[in-house]
Amino acid sequence: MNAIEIRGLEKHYPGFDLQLDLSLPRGCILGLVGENGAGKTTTIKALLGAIRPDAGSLSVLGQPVKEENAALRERLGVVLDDPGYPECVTARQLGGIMAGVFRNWDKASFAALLKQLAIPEGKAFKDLSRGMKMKLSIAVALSHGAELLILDEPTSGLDPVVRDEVVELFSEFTRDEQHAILISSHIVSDLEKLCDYIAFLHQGRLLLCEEKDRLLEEYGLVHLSRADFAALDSAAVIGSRRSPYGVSAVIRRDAVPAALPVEPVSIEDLFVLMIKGDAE
Amino acid sequence: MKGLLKKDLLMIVKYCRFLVLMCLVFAVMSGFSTEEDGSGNFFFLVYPVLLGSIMPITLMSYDERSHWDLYCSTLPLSRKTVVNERYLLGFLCFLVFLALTMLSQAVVLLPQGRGGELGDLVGMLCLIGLLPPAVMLPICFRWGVEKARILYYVLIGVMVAGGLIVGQELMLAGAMRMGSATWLIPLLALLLFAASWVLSVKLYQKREF
Repeated sequence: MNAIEIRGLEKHYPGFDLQLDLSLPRGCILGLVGENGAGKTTTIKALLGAIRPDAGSLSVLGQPVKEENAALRERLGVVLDDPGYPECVTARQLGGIMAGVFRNWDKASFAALLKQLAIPEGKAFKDLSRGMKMKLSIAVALSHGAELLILDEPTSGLDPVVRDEVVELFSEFTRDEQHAILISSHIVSDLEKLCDYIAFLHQGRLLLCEEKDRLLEEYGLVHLSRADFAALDSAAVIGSRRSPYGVSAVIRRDAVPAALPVEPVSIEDLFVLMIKGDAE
Repeated sequence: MKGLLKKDLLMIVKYCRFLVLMCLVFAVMSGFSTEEDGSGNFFFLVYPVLLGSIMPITLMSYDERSHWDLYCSTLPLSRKTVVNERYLLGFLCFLVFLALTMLSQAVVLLPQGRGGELGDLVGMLCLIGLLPPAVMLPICFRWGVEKARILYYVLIGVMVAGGLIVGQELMLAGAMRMGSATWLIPLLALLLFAASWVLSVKLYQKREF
């Protein structure tokens, strides 16, 4: 059973339309990549029941998504771009609040995470740095026995050392094969490190959703002169960037001549060049 | 609901402690500002119950600022529970300040043999205390605090103007003496509050974040 199933999701706002099919198997991490306004947060809100889809069906952990499903929400750990905690509460007080919200609240686990992530227990939320706020939010999400983490930009604002630490926490979470993570981020390098699947969202549409390793095997980066680039089969080119020195292009490895020198492509290059190519 | 109550109490202690203290002082002062002819300081009398009952709206504006609403919608709490907690908290705050105000009034009025006026006063304070949240809370739950705040200022303006025009002479002295019909006023206020509660539950279920 998939942890997330999105079929024919549609949500329309003035000037923006989201249309999406997506699934996330258990035991896996899916990274949702997209520029600002691509529809990442709308997708996450729809999965959380915070907005009502105009069409389509969404199920999470085998249950249909509805506004009222407290039992399902017990099994979700959520980190939002803006954590949403009252500005005046401390981490310790937040633990007390959450103990009254989640049936499976694990006080010891929360205390251990605060210590591990070096979050001050007695400091008001408003006085924490952006990174500390995100770490606190992650600690809450991991302290009530959640099976699925839904994370909206959880690593933004974190320094590289802490990001690495948090990425390790998420990897540890998915060692249990019943667990899964949906994570959206602008920081594509984090997703590259962490995810099993990558989904590219652009202007409310899914450009692709594939296993990360397969993406890296399937696509490559070439640097060519303009004349050589023009000779390439256009169907092989996913996206390109022109410069005074030539053209850098993401191509399908199986659609170009074997003699052509092809470099491995990073997920970031793949995403940027796909979007750029689309714009061109 | 336990977690929500805990959160709101923490917020009251942190953000509203001076207001609460001020209301306590006003509640006590309201008794001592009541003159023998029944007139008194209308502001001291109504401010504590009014502030107590709109405490949930004050907290909701802080919640909106910190985007708590969206996060709360991801927690294992039904929307009905979220609404119930806010109405319960508002009603409890209203009851606490009503009790204090009435205690202060009783200390002054009972020795003067004017205990009968206490019933009239309860009726008036119930209406003044419960009407604003009954009108505003459904708007807050559906469209947010900002829209409700505009209505709040209009309501307060009308009530204060009404109090200034007729309050001193009539409300405390004459108009409150409505005979047995006075007991209908708190009943009416409670019914309005209950109807508002039901409406808020329905409206909040339609809210998108």
